[in-house]
Amino acid sequence: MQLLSVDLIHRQTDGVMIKKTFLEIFTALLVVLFLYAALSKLLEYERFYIQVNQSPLLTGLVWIPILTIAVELITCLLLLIPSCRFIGYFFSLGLMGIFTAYIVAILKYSPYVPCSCGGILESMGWREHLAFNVVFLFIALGCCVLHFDRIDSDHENQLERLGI
Amino acid sequence: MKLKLSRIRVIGISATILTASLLVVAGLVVASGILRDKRGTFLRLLPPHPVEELDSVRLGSDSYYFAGTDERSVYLSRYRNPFHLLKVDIPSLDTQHISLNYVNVHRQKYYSPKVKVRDNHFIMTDGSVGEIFSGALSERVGKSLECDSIFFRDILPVSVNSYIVKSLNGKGENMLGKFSVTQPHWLSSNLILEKQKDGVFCSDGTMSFNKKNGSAVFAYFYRNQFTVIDTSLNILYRANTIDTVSIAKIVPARIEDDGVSTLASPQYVVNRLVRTDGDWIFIQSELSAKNEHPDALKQGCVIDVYDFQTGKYSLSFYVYNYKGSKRMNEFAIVGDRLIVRYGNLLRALRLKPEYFAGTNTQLTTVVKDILQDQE
Repeated sequence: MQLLSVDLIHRQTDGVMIKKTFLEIFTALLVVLFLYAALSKLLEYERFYIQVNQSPLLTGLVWIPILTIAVELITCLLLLIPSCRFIGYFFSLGLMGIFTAYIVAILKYSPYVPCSCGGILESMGWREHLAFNVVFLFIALGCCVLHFDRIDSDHENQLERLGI
Repeated sequence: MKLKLSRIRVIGISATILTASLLVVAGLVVASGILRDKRGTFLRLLPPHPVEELDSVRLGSDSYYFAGTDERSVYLSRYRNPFHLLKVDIPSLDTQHISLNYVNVHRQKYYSPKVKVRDNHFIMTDGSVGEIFSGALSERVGKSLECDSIFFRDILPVSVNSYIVKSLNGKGENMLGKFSVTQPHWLSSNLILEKQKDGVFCSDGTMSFNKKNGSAVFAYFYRNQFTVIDTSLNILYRANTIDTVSIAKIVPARIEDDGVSTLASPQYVVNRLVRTDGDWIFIQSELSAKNEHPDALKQGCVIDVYDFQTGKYSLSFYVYNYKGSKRMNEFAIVGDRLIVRYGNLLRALRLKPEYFAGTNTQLTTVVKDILQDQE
């Protein structure tokens, strides 16, 4: 009986390790994505501002460009501070949700498809962009779930709970 | 301190966030007015079937564009390949490949060379290079016109020796000019194109030459006007298209870092393309009329027809999408045929003589009769 439960702990520990690794990789991906997205927009701000205004959904909304960059940078910051990380995950999820829904709306309603994302993202077609966004949406969702799973099944907690 | 949330709670919060982001975008869609009925207050005369679909022919590639027409054929060239010309016989749609050569051409200078055909001659130009190659189609060899460099944004051959160009004046604003091989070489007019905003986008447009009448028409992209000029750049008349956009809605902008002029607004195109032949001016409009189905312009393109002599509106017809979704790229007119290009497909449509053979007054009567019958 004793042996069996030790084995169980080990197996669960392995599971926790895998989850932890995934969470770390996903977090890094999100940080890189938002940092890159924000900086590429900021470096060519004039161009980005004009492109946003070319969008039939966003034209005339002058605060959208700076707000987008600000939220992306804040999300990055939250993801980098361990105690705020979970807020960062929810921010990431919200941002990816908005970006993905925006692309769907553009593809569905706009009479033409304007270009808008900076840097390398610009070279993607809108359908590839949609796929890319959906992947990152799931990554953000995965982060939210894994983060709280980890706290829930933290190694020490496991040991405590089993009374070892 | 570590916040503890059960998996169910986490998923619940995530679902709430995703719903909220959907609502944000839905709010943007609603606020942008993109769903609103965008039909204008103007009316179109849409008689039943003024055009009839005939045969079509496949081209070898998507990269063909119309280079010109004559009485019995339409010519196409290919983007970035000025050595190739395709002659399509009308009405048989038989094709004939023609290879062109140029004497002493610096190929690397030509980023976007264009070939145009007029009166059994072809020209090859790139507005940013400033050189024009010209030759007879029978000889198939283009020679440089030894002349001062001219730079332009669009060129319209009006004869073997003269070309109307859309160019920029000293202030960087659009103007029309005429370049001739014979004296006087250069003629320009700042009076034809009227500035509303920046003078670059607001006065930009599309042009076409009417051989029968020996004059050209220029239609603004972003507002409801067109101007007919003779080959000495005199204004014959100005007229309005049927819609109500008299002031261009676009917002011009400039990116100083790149030195590029662009738009800081959606494109708001009114007139996409103008072509003229014989007694008519054909203008592809991007705006919906009050008496059209709201989705009419999703299923096809609409072409408004105006009388060449007076600029008065006659009627409109649709060029339906190919297989429902492929929109017309461009069109050309050869006699009573409207030749439409959908990517690599050419389709011929017949302009029915009861609508297009007579004069405008006759036509108006015909259309009125039909509309009365409909009522």
